[in-house]
Amino acid sequence: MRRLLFPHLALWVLGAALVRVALIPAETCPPVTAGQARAAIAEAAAWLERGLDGDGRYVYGYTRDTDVESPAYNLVRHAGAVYSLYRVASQGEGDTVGAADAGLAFMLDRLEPAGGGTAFAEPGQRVELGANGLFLVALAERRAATGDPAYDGVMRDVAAFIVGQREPDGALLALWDPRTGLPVPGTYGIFATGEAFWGLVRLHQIFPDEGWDDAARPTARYLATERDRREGQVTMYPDHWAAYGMADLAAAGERLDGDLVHYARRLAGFFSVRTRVESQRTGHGVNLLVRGWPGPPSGVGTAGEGAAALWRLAGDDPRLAELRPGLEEDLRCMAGMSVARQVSAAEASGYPRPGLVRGAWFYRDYTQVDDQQHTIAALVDTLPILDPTR
Amino acid sequence: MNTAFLVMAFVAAVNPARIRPGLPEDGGRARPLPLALGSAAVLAAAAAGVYLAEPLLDALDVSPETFRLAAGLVMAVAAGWVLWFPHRGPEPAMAGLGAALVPVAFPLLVSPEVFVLAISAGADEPAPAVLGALAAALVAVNALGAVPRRGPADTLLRGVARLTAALLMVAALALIVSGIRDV
Repeated sequence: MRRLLFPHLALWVLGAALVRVALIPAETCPPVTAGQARAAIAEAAAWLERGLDGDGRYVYGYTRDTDVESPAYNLVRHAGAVYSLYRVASQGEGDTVGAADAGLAFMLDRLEPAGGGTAFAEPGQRVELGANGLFLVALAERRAATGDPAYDGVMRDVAAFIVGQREPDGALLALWDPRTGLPVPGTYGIFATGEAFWGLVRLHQIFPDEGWDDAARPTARYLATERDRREGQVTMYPDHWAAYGMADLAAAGERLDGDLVHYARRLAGFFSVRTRVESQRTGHGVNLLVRGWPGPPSGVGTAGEGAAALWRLAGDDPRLAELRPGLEEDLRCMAGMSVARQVSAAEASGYPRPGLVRGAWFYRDYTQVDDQQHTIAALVDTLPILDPTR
Repeated sequence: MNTAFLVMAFVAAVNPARIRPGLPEDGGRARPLPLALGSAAVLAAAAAGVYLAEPLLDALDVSPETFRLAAGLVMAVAAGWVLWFPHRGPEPAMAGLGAALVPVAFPLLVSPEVFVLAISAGADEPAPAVLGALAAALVAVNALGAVPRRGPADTLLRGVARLTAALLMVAALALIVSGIRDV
């Protein structure tokens, strides 16, 4: 009998061990306080500020072990970094307007007529929808941070460019060609549509009587119901920009239709599972084989941004209220991981250029401007949870 | 998980048609007393597991959604196994009423798929609903045990076991999707 039972028991023990190691490693969420999150935001914002050059560009990427700075640059991520710095200021979490204004100047210097409006692009290059969507968002956030209406006209012009990229079903073409003076047919960006959608919503928040919500709604529907199929995504794309847009649409008092609510719920699930998987990653031992390295900080940050946006949305829309507790838990976890993984001054001192290491989040030995951008934005938007008295 | 889903999932996980040939028999029918006692023992053990599911997952630092996803994967593997190997031969049995423990309770009724489903459902749903669903599955096992295995019975049981495994696969996929989508 014992001999016959032993294989069963052995299989159970081996199976349980396999399940524990491969399927359900511990989800480790370091405890975090609002003070620690604020310190992390300040350190990361300082990294962006230290990386500014005389032209208003930020350090794009840096490999710490070889001390090599990336020669690449990306306008979308530039605009996103500017947004995140204005976001810090608008939420009263630091005086980052100067560093953001320097980056803004870089974009304002590159404005040119495009479509029915204005857009920023490198001279002679195709104009990118996503970069201009985030440019618009950054301008809106600057207005929130400073109250300065100086760029209201620019915002309207950039929004007009975005509207000019729209197709009948709400899709937005990702590029505009200065040589033809037309949008480039058949070009769609994974993130660009959501970025531009959010930009239009931000403009509606500032100028609620100008009809920018009417411009945004077809794209919202497209994102929720058509985009993945039409743009060839195998599964739903976890688009945190769309989450931002829906949250701000609801915050502006607009009721989301059922398709958008369904989409928001599905997005919440994707951001949640992303954070849970991340919390299982230790980066060493057997865990490294089954879960890989701790993920790119930009990925962790975008999941946090999306979850935070949907947490706000769930507070405004009772149909999604049941998502709030789970999203809160995920956001605390994201914040804890981010604070724990940020490079401290002491750790940075061992590298050739500590100023490009301190305050940053690295994927293995490389950091990129959007690693800071997304994590800053996610942490700032998590502060209302970490510090409910705020 | 609604009640109908829980019942379907537990019946599919227990898979009465597959374990029927492994039950200790007397005259072609399963011995009723060991079967009933074994079922009661499994229900009692499951009650403990269901009530302790949340603290257990907390102790393991695993969220219910993640465990649901893992449970779905385990159930999918089990379903695939049964689809491929629907036949289960007679198991060695302890003497007398000891057969209620071996083989009825273990290894026939308590399988990995039943175990993970009980823990996952216990962490997500009210305990009475979970235990009621498991009880329904155990009633099905006892009812099937009373039917004599004659003629083409084993062939029929294999077919039903495969169909039940297909249901288990559906339940597994539903749990996986739910584990991914839920916050």
